[in-house]
Amino acid sequence: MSIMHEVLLLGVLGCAYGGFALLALSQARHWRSVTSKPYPAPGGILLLRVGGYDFIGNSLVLALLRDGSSFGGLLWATSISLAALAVALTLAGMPARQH
Amino acid sequence: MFRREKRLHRASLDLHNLAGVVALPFHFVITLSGLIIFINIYFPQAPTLAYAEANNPRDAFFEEGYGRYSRKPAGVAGSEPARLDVMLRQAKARWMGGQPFFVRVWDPGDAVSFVEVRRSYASQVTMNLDQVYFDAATGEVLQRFEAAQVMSAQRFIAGMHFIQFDHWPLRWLYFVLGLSGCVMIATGYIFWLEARRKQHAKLGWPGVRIVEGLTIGSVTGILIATLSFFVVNRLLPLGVSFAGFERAALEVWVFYLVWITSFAHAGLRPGRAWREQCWAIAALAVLAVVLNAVTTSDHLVKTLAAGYWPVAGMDLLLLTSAIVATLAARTLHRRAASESAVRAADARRLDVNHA
Repeated sequence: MSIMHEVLLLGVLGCAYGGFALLALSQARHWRSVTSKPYPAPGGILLLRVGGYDFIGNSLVLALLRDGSSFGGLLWATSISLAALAVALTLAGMPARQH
Repeated sequence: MFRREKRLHRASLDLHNLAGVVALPFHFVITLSGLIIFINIYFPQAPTLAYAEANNPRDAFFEEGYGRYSRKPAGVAGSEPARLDVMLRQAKARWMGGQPFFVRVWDPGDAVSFVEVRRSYASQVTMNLDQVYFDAATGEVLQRFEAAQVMSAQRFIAGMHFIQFDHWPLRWLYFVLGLSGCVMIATGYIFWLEARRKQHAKLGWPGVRIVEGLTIGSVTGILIATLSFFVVNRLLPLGVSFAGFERAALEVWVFYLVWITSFAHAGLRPGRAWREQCWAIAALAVLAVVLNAVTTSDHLVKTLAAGYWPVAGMDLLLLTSAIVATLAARTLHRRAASESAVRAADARRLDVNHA
């Protein structure tokens, strides 16, 4: 296995995690648990959502590049499940903030 | 989504929903593929309909679906067999570089002896049915087979389920998502119990006690049974038999007997079974690692240095399980201690009021 394979794997997992993190940030409750900055205007929310889906899509592209259609599809489908779980557990680990 | 600071009741529902929903595609595909794999059991009469015009519909179905070749032995001695390596090279060329992984010589020595070569599925999801049959004496190809489209789709779905391929990230992802299924089941049990505990105690119903015993046996008990299996596998001498059972069967007996015992233990010691079984998991996991090191001399220092991952990974996971079980047992201990302290304080207060 070449080093490129490992880099692409990191990319698949990283993009999936980043994508779900952006989607989570687009929700007021999660935004406030992460930062005390004001919750963005609708335009900013849209940007977060589009960015989130884009990252998840990129994750699929990287998985297909790495492994082709059959292994790549499976790798992506399982990676996004794991990433969503990881984001939820990250948010659960955030200290509760006063609103 | 998951609010760990909430009470057990609420937090277990959070975890139940999270593990169930997030890994839903995985759980769904594993379940569905399990059904599709056993198509011949769930639809045993399907070949009769699809191959109605054939003399023997079942045989016709298997021949067309799976391509198995056979011919009756002649009962006469045959000539010297042809060269196997030539056959394997021919099969490889046919499969565009796909590797053979299975070679079987049927009726060796017979005049109509033949050789079966099957293609490996280490490098693809599909558990292919590619096979070539050669005449053993002449090396001539008797039959080639590749599954048709519908069968190939079935073999792809089976491959997703069996993960017989060589792909380490996917194997780990499957493992973690499988664990999320375990979390979903365990938290589901706990939620059910905590939602009914008070009401059942008030009405004097046995429901919670029974389900709690079943829960403990199927969450921690099955781990104890599995670890006992590992331990016994290292302890039993080779070639041993007892009461007519071979070594392999004895290991299975130990698994089931320990598992049943764990249910009994859970039923008999309701308040303490969780933490006692956690301690048992920790002890057995460490014991399994130690026994493997003693009996095979493949200890962690050696396996890690040699990069012998199948054994090193198993040992590391066993030790991780031991740590997690110890942490769980200690947490349960602390909680039980603080609860009994509260109860004792309440009791004292009552005594004071009475006096």
